[in-house]
Formats: sequence, structure tokens, C-alpha cells
Amino acid sequence: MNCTSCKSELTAFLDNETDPRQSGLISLHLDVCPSCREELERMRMERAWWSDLPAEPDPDPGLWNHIQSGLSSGRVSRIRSMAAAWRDFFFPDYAFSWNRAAAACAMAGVLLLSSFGTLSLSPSGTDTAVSAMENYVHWRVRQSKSLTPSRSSSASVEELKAQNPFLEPDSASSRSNPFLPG
Amino acid sequence: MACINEYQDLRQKDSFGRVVEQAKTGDTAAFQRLYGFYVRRLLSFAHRMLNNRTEAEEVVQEAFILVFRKIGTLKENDKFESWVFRVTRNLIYLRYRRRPSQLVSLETDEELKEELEALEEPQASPEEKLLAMEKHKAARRAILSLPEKMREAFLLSVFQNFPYQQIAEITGKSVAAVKSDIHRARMLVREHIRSY
Repeated sequence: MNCTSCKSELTAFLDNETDPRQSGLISLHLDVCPSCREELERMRMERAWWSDLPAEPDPDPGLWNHIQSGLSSGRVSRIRSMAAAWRDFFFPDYAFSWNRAAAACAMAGVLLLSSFGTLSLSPSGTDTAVSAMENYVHWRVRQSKSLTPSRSSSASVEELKAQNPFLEPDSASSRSNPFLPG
Repeated sequence: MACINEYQDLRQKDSFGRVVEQAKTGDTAAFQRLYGFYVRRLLSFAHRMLNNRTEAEEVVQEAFILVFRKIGTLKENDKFESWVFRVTRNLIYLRYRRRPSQLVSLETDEELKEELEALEEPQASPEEKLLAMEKHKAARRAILSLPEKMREAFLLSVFQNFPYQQIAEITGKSVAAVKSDIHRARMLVREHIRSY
């Protein structure tokens, strides 16, 4: 064994983590190598230095109480206790029985089937969307008609003619068409 | 000290497995005994890993709650010690990930002083107190200088005296990797404690 491999094994040697064969080889090397012996001594001193450090202060006395409360206030236990509270409120004399469970399942099934039936009677989603769009288009048309002045009505034509400075007020309506006979 | 003696007695009498078995049945008294055995050691480990006493207490609290809830899943009662340390170690790494910018929050000198005052002999002279504080600070600095993976192996070896095999179980590494980590960590911290 050389110095490099010996020094790399010294920590494990001090921690009693080397196998007997390795320990024997290291001991043999230490007998003849003052440098490695010095390294070993230094490591021993460092170990003593670390072990002389003061221990950790006492834990907070309330820590155990926090842990206990943490253990009892788990999510699952909270949900269970809430469910139990509701059950006790509605069924104070509740006791589990298979007959009751079967009856509850049957009722749930009937409710489910009836809800499916109601859904099938209603118009499909596409039809509803199409009719809504049609309604919207009709509404838009009605709105545009009511907002835009109707140019075809005689009153509005008369008004426009009255406002036109290039037309004579009375002659415009009474003038006959020159391209038509008589 | 009484707690440590009780712990050793329990290990020697081989009744440790029985306490774990009782805890598995939901026995609160057994939980409390296990808590009494491990709380100081876990707190020491978490505090040195996180360098923050408050965070360490939170981690230990979380670890015990988790362990007591899941104790039924533990197959080998003898592995309880490794398991509880592994859970704590995993929670510490979760804390590391949550820390935004810096990996370790440094405790102030005031906090360190308060801690030391709680430990010191009341009749210690001011020089002795100062020396103790300097030594404590040097130790903290040395530990914090280590990379996290190396730090855990070092702390478990130096302060918890775990064999390499158990450290490997806790950290999820091979024994050879643990051996290498501990040796390299000892060489790295050497410079920090040289003058003390």
C-alpha cells in the first residue's frame, strides 16, 4: 500500500468501516510511514474537535402538541367527521343496513334515468343554436328597418325634394315627363 | 442524557421493534416514546442542514406527522430509524427547492448567540463564551461550505454516528459513494477549523 491509497482510506479506517484485510494493510503501512501516522493523528484531533461541539438546544416544548394536532387534523379525518356530522343531523338513529343501501342505490338509479329522459326531450344543441341565430338575424333586420328612414314613403320623398336647392318647390312634382307622349 | 440512556437501553433490550409495532396499531404513547427518542437527533440534523432553527422545527414536525401517518406501511421495524431520517432528509430537500435564490439562509449572530446562551454553563467566563461562539460559528461555516449531498453524509457520520451502510440507506447512495463523500467532506472542512 502506498501513501495515497492509505490516506484515502484513513477516514474509513478511523470510522471502523474498513474490512479486516484492509485494516491490516493500513496498519502495516502506518508502522513504516511517519507522514501517514501524522495524518491519522490530525484526523483524530479533528474528530475530537467536532465531538466537543455543544449539543443542540432542547426542542420547543409545544412541538409534540403540534404533531398531535397535526395527526388528528388530517384531510381525510376532517372529511369523515364532516360527513358523520351531516349524517347525524339528518339521521340521528342511523345504522348501516344492506336493505337501506340497496334502496338508496335504486333511488339514485331512478333519478339518473329520469334525468336522461328529460334531456332527450329537449331540442338538440345544434337546433337551438340555429334557431337562436335565426332569431338574431330577424331582430337585426327589424332594428335596421326601424332605424333607417324609409326613402320609399311619399312623405320622406317630399321632404327630400323640399330640401334640394336645384329643384323648384312646386314644379318638380307637377312637371310632366318630357320623354313620355302627351 | 437520560433520553439517550433510555434509547440505548431500549435498543439493547431489543424492545424497539415492539414500540414500533405498538405505534403501528395507533398507540399514542408509543408514538410519544418514538418522538422522545428521535426528536433531538432529527432536530440537530435538520438544523445543521438548513441552518435555520425555525425551519428545522417545522421540518421535524412535518416528518413526525408523515411518519406516524404512514407507519403502517413500514415492513421492517428495525428500519424505522433509517426511515425517519430519510423522510426528514427528503423534507429538507423540498425546503431547499422552495428557497428562492439562496440555498441556505444564514442565521444572524444574534440568533447564534441566543442558541449558545441556552446551552452554555451560567458560570462560564466571557472569554469562554466568546471562544465557544467562535467555535460554533466556525463549525457552521465549515458545514455550510459543503455541497448538500456531501453535507448530509458528513452530518450523519459525525453527529449521528451512523455506520456507512445506514447512511447509504438514508441518502439512497451506495456505500462506496458514502465513503468517498465523507472522506472528501472531512478534507474540505479541514481548512475552516484549522485555527480553532
